[in-house]
Amino acid sequence: MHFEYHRHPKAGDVLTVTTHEGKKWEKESKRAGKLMFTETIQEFRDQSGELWSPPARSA
Amino acid sequence: MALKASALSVGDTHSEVVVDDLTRTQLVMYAGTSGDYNPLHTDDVYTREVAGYPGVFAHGMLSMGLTGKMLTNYVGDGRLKKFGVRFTNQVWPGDTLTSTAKVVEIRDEDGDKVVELALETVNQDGMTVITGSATARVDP
Repeated sequence: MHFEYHRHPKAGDVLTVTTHEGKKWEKESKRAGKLMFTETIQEFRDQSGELWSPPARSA
Repeated sequence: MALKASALSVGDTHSEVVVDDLTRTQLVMYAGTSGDYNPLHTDDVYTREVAGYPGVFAHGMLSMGLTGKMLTNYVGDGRLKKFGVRFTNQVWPGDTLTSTAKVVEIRDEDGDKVVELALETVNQDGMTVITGSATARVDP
């Protein structure tokens, strides 16, 4: 999980989140066989379209 | 209190015990606060008999949040620019976790001094449960 913080949120801000797919990859695991990873990227923008917090990436 | 670049050196470390004897109640509390009700974290019967694990275990984001407590205690509030982790092992009820930040670089970025930190959280057996990195703005 990875977060990037662009600025501090202020009282009254309206945040809109968009979600899109990022990288996909596979890995061989000794324990569990083939592991499939997908990355989801979420971007939080304020009322003027400025990036607030993300991208938050989770795999 | 905020960190000062002039008082930091590459290789400096800061460690804290972030949880002592983690309880199942804390897992339930984290499920409620995060909205993540995956039964692997709250329902011991399901987790043992259906999922085949030894018992309930902590949400990865709880381990990350505990690591973040050490991180913001060290760099100060409102200073983080980036914070990322990998969940390398599971965290179980009864675990005691110690988180460490190590200074790997001090540099200028967009007119600010920033510090690059390597993060690690280990359990009472010395097993690493979190590795990660963070970037924080510091005072000159």
